[in-house]
Amino acid sequence: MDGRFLVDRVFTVIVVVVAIIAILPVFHIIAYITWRGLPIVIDNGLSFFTDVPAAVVAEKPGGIAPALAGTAFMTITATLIAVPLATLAAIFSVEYPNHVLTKAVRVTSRSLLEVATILIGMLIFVLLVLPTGRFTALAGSLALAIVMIPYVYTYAELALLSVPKTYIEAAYALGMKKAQVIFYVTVRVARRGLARGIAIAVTKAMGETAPLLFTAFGARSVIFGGPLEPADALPLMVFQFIQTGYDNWRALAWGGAFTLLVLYLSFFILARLLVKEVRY
Amino acid sequence: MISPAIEVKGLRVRISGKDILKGVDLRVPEATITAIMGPSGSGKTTFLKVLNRLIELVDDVEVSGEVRVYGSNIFDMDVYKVRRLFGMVFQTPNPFPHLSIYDNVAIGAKVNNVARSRKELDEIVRWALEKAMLWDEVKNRLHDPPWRLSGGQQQRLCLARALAMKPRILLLDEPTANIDPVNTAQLEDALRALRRDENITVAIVTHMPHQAIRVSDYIVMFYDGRVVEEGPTGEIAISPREDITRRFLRGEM
Repeated sequence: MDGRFLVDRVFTVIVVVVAIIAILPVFHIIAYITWRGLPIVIDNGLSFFTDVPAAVVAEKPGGIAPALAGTAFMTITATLIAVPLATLAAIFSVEYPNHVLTKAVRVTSRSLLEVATILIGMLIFVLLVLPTGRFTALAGSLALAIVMIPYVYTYAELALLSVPKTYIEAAYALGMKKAQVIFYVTVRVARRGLARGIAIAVTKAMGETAPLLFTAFGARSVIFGGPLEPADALPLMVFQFIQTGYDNWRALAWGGAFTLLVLYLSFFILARLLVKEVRY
Repeated sequence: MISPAIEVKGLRVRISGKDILKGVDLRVPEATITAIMGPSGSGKTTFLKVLNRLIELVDDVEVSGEVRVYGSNIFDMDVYKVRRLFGMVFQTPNPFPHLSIYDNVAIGAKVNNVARSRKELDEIVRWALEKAMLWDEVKNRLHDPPWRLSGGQQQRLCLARALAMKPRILLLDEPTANIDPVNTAQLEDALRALRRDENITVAIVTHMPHQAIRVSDYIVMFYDGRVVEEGPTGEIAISPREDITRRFLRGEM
């Protein structure tokens, strides 16, 4: 047998094995959470999503409605704050690459990507929670928005930069103004990349616990008290309930983790289905 | 000579400290096809991009001299108004990939408020596609994406997109460099028909002498950032005055 052929086969096998090892933990996590969480969701039916958690002494675990409502409110609010801000910042960076503001935004964005998200929670705690004297869903939303901004910005900048210059030139040649070129051409050609960034940022925000510890704090007795009241969130509930010694709360934690997983996957699949790839 | 649509005096362009155009003087006659020919790197494309001020998108560029279009100095005009006087077709076909065939043509008309109603827009799209000799090939698939068309069809779609703006002058930058001979012939036929039927002034950049002779009424020879010779195509093709033009026509450079 040819020596080069043998080396090629050996390396192919090594690469395949390493790839399997690398993705195995992902499948393990999905399988384990499904194994632990799915039966709890099935056993409790619709009330799992509509009830508040039961008391620790109750037989039934109750539901995760406050966590679901809090996650929905805080993720949507954070998205409404972060996406326009970060996308506009990315458009500015691409249009004015040498502007001092662009350099500042890039450095800030990269730094924020690296910062431990608990510090972002502490920042909002100092700026908003301490002065107002209360934990609120809005403070949680702001913390999550700060977590999302660098993700949306980085993916948006990459997507916008990857739009071939020839389309931009053609748009200007048609007499379009800068805003029209951005709106009619650049953003629309880059839409898949922009959507990918938003999907990653939203799932990141949905799964964050640390920034909510000092901001939204958690609330279990009502489903959702309002933007200016403390609120629960799925990861926060999972984090707090899994550490307790109560079986019914631990069951809620596993069911909540499974719900979070389903939300993640559906969000990514929806984003891919809804935003068509632009083919050149 | 027929009155000029474009009149250029002492045009100089410097990009990142390098002189690209070194004092260009020329006149592009109205309702004619003028071929701007010359070897690669002679400044033809840069010249075209000065005319519709696309050159201003390039970083670190300095432009001096005078460019008059129908008597008005383009540097005194609003840049978007200048661009709307010209339709432009680029070397590589670049229909917008996110828009359908119909919308690619319609977008120029929409942006420039050429159409006042949907019916009028439909008529303009059809007119532009007919003038680009593409209507018969796409009339039953106007809502297809442009990547379903061949390279030559895509280039004619770009011509239709430019025409839908109802420009007075059409600029083409080596439009047949990336397409096959059949599509090249169709595009050249379309240009001749536009000049004849619509009185559109056409400036086409080409590095192919045969194309310049085939398609144009006037030829301008560029070399090293300067115009070395210009005149009616018949005269230049048969008896060029300059040795550079002669060598270029013989395919020696």
